[in-house]
Amino acid sequence: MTGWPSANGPTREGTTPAGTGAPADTDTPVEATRAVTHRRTIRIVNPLGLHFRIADRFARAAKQFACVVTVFNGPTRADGKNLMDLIMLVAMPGAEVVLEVDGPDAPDAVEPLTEILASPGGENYAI
Amino acid sequence: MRMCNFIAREAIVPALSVTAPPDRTAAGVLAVKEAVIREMVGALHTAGHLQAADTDGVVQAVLRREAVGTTGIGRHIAIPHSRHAAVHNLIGALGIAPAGLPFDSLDGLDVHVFVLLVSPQDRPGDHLRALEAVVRAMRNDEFVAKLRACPTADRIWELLDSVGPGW
Repeated sequence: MTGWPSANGPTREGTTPAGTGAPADTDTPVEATRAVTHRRTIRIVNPLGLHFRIADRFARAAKQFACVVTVFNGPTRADGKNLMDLIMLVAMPGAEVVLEVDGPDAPDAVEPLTEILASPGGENYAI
Repeated sequence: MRMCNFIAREAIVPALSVTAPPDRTAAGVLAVKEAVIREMVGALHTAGHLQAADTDGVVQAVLRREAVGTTGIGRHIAIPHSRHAAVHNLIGALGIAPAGLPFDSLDGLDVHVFVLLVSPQDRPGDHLRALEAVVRAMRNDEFVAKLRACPTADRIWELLDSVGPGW
């Protein structure tokens, strides 16, 4: 994967067969066994932004999968399995981040990881 | 944002007084956490950034936050933190534990560098930027080695002041 992935238009989701190098722009179904890149644009609605605890939760969840997990905030790129990387995204409330998962189990990873990034907050803790 | 923008110079503790417990039980680690947090919050109070009446509340808030997930991020670094109504601007303390202390870190290593942050309730952006500044600096092994070798608060401050925002 190279460069900054563009948002995928109104669908906000896409898949790219591995090795094509083409930006995703469709919801093209792929066979489960093929390595594909799934990409989603997600708005951070948590009023505290992508804070430490969410980042920690995300990194722990991402580590459960073999696929490569990357999160982009504008030009800043983070290894989704690395808490420090995720903190360095500085994703503010309202920011749109791009989640990219690439590998054989990407289809299983994309939904739970999206859910964490899109969580609305309201948790009973202090960042 | 740079660390010297929010670390209070007078709240730098070059050698925390807390010592490692003889055992590494959960209770022992919790006791270390409370002692470290209390000493650093005390440093913020001594530095004039917290009222005496607020210190215990801030300690409890940081401990509650710690209870839901460790802030020992690995590489010998911990960033205990909380929001609290007692502060109107983000403020931080920095403490060094020369011998290292158990802190339930993600990588299991003892912590040598603590950065405690207390944020206002309504400034999540400042908090995120401060976290980023700490992490960016602490990922630099050379910087951390220099930090741990600083013998005085003044030397630590000079080091923090020498770090540009791009680190």
